[in-house]
Amino acid sequence: MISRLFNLFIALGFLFSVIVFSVASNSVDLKTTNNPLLTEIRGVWLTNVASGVLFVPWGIERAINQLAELNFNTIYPVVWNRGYTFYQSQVAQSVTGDITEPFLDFMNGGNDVLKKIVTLGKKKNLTVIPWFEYGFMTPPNSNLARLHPEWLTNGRKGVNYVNANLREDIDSSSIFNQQLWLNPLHPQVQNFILDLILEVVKNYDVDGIQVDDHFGMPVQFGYDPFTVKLYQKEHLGKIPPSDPFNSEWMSWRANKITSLLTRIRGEVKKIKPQAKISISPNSQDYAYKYYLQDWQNWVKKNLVDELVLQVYRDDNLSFIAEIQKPAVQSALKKIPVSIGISSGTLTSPVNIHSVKQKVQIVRDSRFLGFSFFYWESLWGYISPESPQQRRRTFLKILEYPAVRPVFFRKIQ
Amino acid sequence: MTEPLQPKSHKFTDLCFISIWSFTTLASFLLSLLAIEVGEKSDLEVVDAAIGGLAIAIPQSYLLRKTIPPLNWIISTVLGWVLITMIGVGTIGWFVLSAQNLYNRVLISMIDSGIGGLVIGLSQSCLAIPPSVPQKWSWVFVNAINCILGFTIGSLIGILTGKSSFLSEVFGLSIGWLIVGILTSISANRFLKIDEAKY
Repeated sequence: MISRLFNLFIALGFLFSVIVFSVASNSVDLKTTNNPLLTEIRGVWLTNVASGVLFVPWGIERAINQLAELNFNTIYPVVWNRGYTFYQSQVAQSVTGDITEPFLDFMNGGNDVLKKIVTLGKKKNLTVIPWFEYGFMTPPNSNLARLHPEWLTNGRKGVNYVNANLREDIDSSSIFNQQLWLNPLHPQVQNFILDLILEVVKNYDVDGIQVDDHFGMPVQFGYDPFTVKLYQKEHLGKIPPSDPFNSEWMSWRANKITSLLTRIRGEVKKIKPQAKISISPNSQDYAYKYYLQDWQNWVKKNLVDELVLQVYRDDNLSFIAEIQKPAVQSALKKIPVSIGISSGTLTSPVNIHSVKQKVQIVRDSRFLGFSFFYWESLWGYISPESPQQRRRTFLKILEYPAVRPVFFRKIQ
Repeated sequence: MTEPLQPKSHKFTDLCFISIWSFTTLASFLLSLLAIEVGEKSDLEVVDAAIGGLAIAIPQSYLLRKTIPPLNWIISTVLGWVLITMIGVGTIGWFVLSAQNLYNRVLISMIDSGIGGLVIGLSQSCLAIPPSVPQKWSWVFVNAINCILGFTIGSLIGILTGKSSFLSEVFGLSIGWLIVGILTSISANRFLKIDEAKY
C-alpha cells in the first residue's frame, strides 16, 4: 500500500513538473524591433451561420486572441441575420418581440455578445465594424415577416420570395433558402433599419458599420402596392414597367436605395463623425443589375468610407479580372478599397496555397488590404489543412503588424 | 399476484456498462476539443496530452470508482499520455497522421497506437489496477490492442471519408475513440469483474 502511494506521489510530481516546464517553454518572444510600418486592412467576417464562434464557450475569446496574434486588425462581426439581432436590441424587441437571437442569448447566458466582442477587440487593438449581413432579407418564418407583411416587397404575379442563400449556408438549394425581402423604399422599413444601425453606433464603441450585397432590392421586386403607388405618384399616374430590367425603372429604385444610404450616413455621422460606413458588395455590374445597388455612385457621392469588394473566385484569372474593373479602380482613387477573399466554406474548402496567391495578387494590385470570408474557414476544421498548418501560413502572410489606412475626407 | 423482482441478468449489466463507458469516452473526446486542437503529431504538446488524458480519465474514474481509486486512475492515465507525447510517439487520439498513402497510414498508425497503448496500459497497470486483479499485467497488452484497432480504423476512416476537409480526419478520430471506448469497456468489464453494484 505504501509503495503504491509512493509511486503515485512520484507520478504526480513528474506530471506537475513536466506540464509546468512545458507551458513555460511555450512563451514566444514577440518581434518588437525593426518591424516595417505597414498600412493594410486585414479583416475577417465573423458570422453565426455554419460557425460556432459566437456560441461555443471561449469561442469569441479564442477568435480575437488568435486574430490579434496573427496580426489581423479588423473584424466584421454579424449583428443582423435571419430577422434577429446579435446584440441586445431594444429596437428589434419593439418590432419583433425578440431582444436578440434566442439561441445566442441562451449560449451566452444572457450577456451581450457585441459588447463582449467590442471590449475584447479593443483590448487587442482590433477595429470592430458590425456587419448587417441580412440587410433587407428576412426568412418567411421570421417574426418580422409575420408581424409586418405590409413591409415586404414582391415581384409580379405575386412572387414574394427569392432563392437567396448565404455563402456559408450548407444547403444552397432547398426551400429553406427562400427569402422574403423588406421593401427598402418603405419609410417604416427604412426607419427600422436606420434605427438598428444607429442603436449599434450609439450604444457600442464601434468603428463603423457595414452593409453588404443584401442592402438592396432584387431587381424582380418592387411590384408591391406601396412601391407601385409611390412610382405612380412620381410618374403622373403611370404604373411601373412590366419589365423589371427597364432602365428607368431600375434607376428609380436604385436611386431610392442611394437616398436611404445618404440618410443613414448623415444620421450615423451626427452621432459619431469618425464612424466608417463600410460596404461589401459584389461587382458593380452584378450588384446593380440584380440588386439595384449602385455602389459606384455611392462612392462618387462620398457616401462610403470603405469598400470591401467580394471577389470569391477560385481561379486567379477571373479574380484579377474582377479587381481590375473600372468601377473598382475608380473607387480605389477615392477611398480605401480592400478585397474580400474566400478562405472557404464547409461545402467548398479553399486550400491555403490559393489563399496565399490571392493575397499576393491583391498586394501586387496595390489595394489597401483584404478581408477573409469567413472566420471558421481561416483555420477551422472545415479547411483542407490542419489548423496549425493554416495558422503558420497566415503568420507568414501577415508577418508584421499593420495599421489600417487613415483616411481624411475634406469636410463638406 | 406479483412476480418477485428478478436480479438483472449479467448480459444486461454488461451491456449497460459497455454503453455508458463507450458513450462517456466519446463524449469526453468531443468535449476535450473545446481545449485541444487536433493537428499533426508535432503540433500537440505535453499540455494537450495532460488535458486530453484528464478529459478521458475523469469520467472513467467515476465509473470505476468502486474498483479503482479515482485519483489513481486519473494520474496513471494522464501520465501515460504525457509520457507518449514526451517520447515522440505523439498524443494518440488527438493527432492526425500526415501520411496520405493508405498502407503507410495503417502501418504508422498501428505502430504509434500500439506503443501508445502499451505505455498507457503499463502506467494504469502499475499505478491504478489493484494487485488483487488476476493477471493485471495483461491489461498492458489488451489496452495496446484496443488502441491499435480503434485508432487505426479511425485513421483509415479519416482518410477515406474525404480529402478536401480536415473535418473528415476529426470524424475519423471520433470513430476511433468510439471503437476504443467499446473495446476498453469490454476488456475492463472482464478484467475488473464489474457488476451493476460497482458503477
